[in-house]
Amino acid sequence: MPAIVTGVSVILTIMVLSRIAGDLPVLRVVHRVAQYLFVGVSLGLAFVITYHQVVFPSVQQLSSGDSAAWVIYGVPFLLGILLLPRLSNRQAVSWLANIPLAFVFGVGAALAIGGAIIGTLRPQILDIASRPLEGDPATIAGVVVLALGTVATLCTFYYTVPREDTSIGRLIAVAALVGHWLLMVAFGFFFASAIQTYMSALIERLQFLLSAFGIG
Amino acid sequence: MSHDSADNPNLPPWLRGVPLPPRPAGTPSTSMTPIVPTGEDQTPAWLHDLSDTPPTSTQEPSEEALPAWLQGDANEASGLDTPEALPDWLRDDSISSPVADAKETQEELPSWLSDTPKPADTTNASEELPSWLSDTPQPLEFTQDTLQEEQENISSDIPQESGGISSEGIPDWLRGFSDETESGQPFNNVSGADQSLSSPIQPFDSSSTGDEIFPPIEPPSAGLTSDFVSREGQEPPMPPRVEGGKLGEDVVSEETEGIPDWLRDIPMDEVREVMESDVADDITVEPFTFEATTESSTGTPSEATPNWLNTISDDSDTSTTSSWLDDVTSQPAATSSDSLSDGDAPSWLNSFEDSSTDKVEDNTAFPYQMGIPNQDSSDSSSILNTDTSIADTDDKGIGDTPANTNMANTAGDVPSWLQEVEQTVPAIDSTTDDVPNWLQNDVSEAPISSDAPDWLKSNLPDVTPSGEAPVESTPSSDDLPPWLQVSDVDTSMSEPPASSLNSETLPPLDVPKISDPSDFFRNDDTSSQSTDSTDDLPDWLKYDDGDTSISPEQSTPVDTDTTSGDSLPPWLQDEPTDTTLPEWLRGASLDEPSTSTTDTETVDTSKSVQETPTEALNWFEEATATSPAEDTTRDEGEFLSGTDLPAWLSGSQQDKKPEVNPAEARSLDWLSRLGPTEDEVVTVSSATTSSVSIAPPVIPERSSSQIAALALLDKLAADPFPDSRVAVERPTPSIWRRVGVERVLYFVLLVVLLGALATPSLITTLQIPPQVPSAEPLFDQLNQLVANDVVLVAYEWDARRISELQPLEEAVLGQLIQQQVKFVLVSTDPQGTLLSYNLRYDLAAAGYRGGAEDFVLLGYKPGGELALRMISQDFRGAFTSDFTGNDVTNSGLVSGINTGREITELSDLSMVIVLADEPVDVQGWMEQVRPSVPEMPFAFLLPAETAPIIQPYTQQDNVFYLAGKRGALAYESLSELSDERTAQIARESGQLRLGLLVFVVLFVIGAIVVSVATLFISPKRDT
Repeated sequence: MPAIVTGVSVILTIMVLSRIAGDLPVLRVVHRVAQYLFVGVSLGLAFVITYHQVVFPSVQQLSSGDSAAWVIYGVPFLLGILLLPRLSNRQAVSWLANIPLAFVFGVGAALAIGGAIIGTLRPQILDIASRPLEGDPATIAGVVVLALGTVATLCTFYYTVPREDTSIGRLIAVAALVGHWLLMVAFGFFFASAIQTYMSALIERLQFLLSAFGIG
Repeated sequence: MSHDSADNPNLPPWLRGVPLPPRPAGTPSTSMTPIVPTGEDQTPAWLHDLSDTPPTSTQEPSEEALPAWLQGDANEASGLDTPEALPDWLRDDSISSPVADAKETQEELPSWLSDTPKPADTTNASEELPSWLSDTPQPLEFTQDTLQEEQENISSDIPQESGGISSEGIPDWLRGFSDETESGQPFNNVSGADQSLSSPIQPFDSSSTGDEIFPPIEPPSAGLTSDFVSREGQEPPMPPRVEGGKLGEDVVSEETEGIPDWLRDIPMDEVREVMESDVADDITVEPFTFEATTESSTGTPSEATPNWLNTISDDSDTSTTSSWLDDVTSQPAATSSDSLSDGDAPSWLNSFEDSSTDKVEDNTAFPYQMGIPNQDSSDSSSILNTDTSIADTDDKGIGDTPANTNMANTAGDVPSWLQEVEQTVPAIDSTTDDVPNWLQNDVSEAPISSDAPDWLKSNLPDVTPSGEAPVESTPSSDDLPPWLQVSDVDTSMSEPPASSLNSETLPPLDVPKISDPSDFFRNDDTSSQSTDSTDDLPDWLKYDDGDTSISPEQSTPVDTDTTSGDSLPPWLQDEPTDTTLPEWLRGASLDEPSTSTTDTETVDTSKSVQETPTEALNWFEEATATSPAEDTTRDEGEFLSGTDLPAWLSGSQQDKKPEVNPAEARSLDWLSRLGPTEDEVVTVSSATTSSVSIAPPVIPERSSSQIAALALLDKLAADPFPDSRVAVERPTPSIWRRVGVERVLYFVLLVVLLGALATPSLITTLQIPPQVPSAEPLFDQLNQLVANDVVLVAYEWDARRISELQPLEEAVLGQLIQQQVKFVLVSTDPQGTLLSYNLRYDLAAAGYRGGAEDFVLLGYKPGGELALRMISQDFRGAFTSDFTGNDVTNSGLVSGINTGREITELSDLSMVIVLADEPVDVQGWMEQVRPSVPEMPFAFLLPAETAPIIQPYTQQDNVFYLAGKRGALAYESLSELSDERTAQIARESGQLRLGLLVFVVLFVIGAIVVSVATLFISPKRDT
């Protein structure tokens, strides 16, 4: 069994790596089959997980006759039922799906905004503001560069001020140019991180192959 | 030579103010003697003079209409034989003409007459007839355009040549009749004609008195009589005396010929051809009255007549009769009388009109057609209508006369004075064919009609019954030249085309009968044998009828009174088509009913109809052209044009001359075949040229751009769809190009990695554990956890990141497992849930108990951030069952049996470890969960790709992170591991470093290659 699993894994891995040879007609089918299989398996897995982790427990609770369960699972169930009219293109009934969708989007927006303000903006602002200009010079230089780099990067996206007419404009233009290059450095850093990720995946797959074939 | 009529005393006052046409070159200049003081402007002077002049005698009012010389003759009652009373020319004519032999006659004839070729058979006739009568074709020539020239001659030449008494008795307009002839002889001829003009006045007056429509106009007719006539009345000229028998013989003999001289020159074949062609063309319009006259005078059927003559009969229908003709028909006498009274038209014209009534009456002769000056239209149709009107008049006045038939024939067709002469011829019946009426009266002492001049009346016994007076007087007119009246007589004598008389009352002429032109002449013989009194006239008169019917005197002035507001009568003012006519005919528009009048445009609009009037003219012009004596003809034309017509007629002719109707001009073509005059040819050609000379349409020039556009359009029209271009097969790229640098680099990288993996010893220098700064704080934090701590581990990653997260998982969780830390496994990602399931096996292997004793696998929590929010807000609510649905609320882990700390809130947990592959996952946990438990340490195991993004979160306190395989190796290396595991981590670190190194090298090589290719190879290819 493990050999089969390993064999399937090897075949699928080779099929995916066949993309290295280029978009050849023959290999195109191979690697696309691996991609479709991966997507299918992922969706199948998601359906199974959803069924077992969401639908079945909810229905089981509703069928239990618990009043609390009716409230807890009944409202989401009704909201879920209202989404079904969207399957039809009949506007007369499809509008019913707007109710649960509005509810979901509303709640999700509220959570996102609240979480962003509380969980992202405030901590970052406090982190930058609370960094003390103390320690070694490199740390102090790093804090200064971080602050200036953040301002310069924001100036890059500040398009509403004329860049050459006034002194402020010219200053913003210079800051925008610095922020532009900081963004290029950040993108380079992101790209290098991505290269490490994908190189790790390649090495892991090659290691798997080699191990599967008993090499290495 | 001066042509100024105003200075010429010889001209009548009414002619003085009229510019005269240029005198012919061959005509000697004459001094004009004033005859009558200048009259009024509106009315012709001769009318005023006559009206103002008291009657010179005590005769009847009818006599007042006669010229003075006629009246004097009547008063003197000396008879015609009185030599003093008569002008010389009359005396000569009366005496010599009957007894003159042929040679003498020829000698006496004017040159223009003598030059006229005569048929051999007419020799006797020429002897018997006066010289001016002997030339049969001459009247025809009068009708030609040469009459105008004659008119000029008369106006200028007569005074010179008329030094004798005879010349004095002759109106000026007659004096120039033949300027080249002997002094007395031409005037005899002309005077005879003049007398014939003066004589019909009385018959007209008498007829008008008896008729309601025709009021008595003798006094006015006397007044209307031209001055020269009135003056000459003191010396009444005698009409040319011709022995009636001889005249009749002459007529007969000439009728045997039947063809006038001017026609004889024309080959019969040609004439026949022309006639037949016209008949074939179905020309129906008859512009002239003389057409019927011609037919009748010649006694020939319509075959010989031109088409325009034939068509007259057709046009006699009501359909072809114009309104103006109808008007005239309805008011014939009134119109004529009015015109006479108004003085717009000469009286002699009115007399013609009246004289035609006789013809209408007997339906055999219709001199009225020729003598319808008041119809002015010069159109036969008008004349026909006039005939109709006169026919009505005859019913009232003339028809009541006892000798209606005979006298109508004689008096109506022949001037009264001729009728008298006619009756005086004993040998010939009053209705003899060959003798003119006036001769008959003269010979047979027939009752003198009122038309006869006074001198005739006085000399001849009044045989005519009282009732005949109006009949005879009807056609009389003072102003009408006698030759015109003779023409009337001729027409009356001929077979009357009754159909042509009136379109309403008379059936149309049978045109098809005129198929043979020769019959035209043969019928002349038959007509001469007829018992009609008109047959008494000689053929030349009959021809003359035909010819003179065209004369303006007959066809011009009658309608003047009705429409004239100026000195010119309206019928003269409306002459749009007279230009093609001879000048003397322009005053009487022949085709006026078909052209000028549109209200009763019954005339066919066909081409033949339009051509008809002009054809008629050409017919005459042809005769003129073919006439042998062109010089005399020209003189006669001048004579007629200058004398017969009043000044207002001449002026109108001149005014209308430049107007040319192309249609009429074209209609003259058939005449041109017979030899039109040069002038006509010019006219026709000019008209034709004017009609033909249409500027060709100017073709617009096209510009180059337009030409190009046209070419493009043509091309597009020819090939709307351009040929599909053959796809140029590109050359097969080289194998290097087909493989590509990228693929080479890929294979190089692959080979290098495989080599490094296959032979880890090759990269030993690289097999150094990495140093990660964030690994150590995390390691320290995890290292603090013990077996009683419960750590919430969130699987928020998927299998794509298994190469990095799995090492991290194994490194971090492996440490925790070693520390027997309790786990609560949860996931908001389906694949993370699946991966979390794999941890069960590791936990189970590590001695962890399931069933929520040492770990709880909650499974998948749907809703993303909502689920995270729920976990943070109601961790106990989310922590009720594991992934299999088992209630975990009462489990040992939850109840804290094994840990010693009940887990009711999130904060009851020791730490939260999130295995996230996306920054969003970190953001979710940091935004939704961490705020609720800010003091709880959070550790994020991330791929290397996500680590830079979550840097802001990782900078917070109690937030740890470890990224990538390199972080895992670094974390793992911190722990106390076995040597094997340490060597494994070193190889993997070396492979990872080799891979990154190779990647960087290949990246640089690839960048260089692409740069070189871009800089050096691609430009060359482009060029």
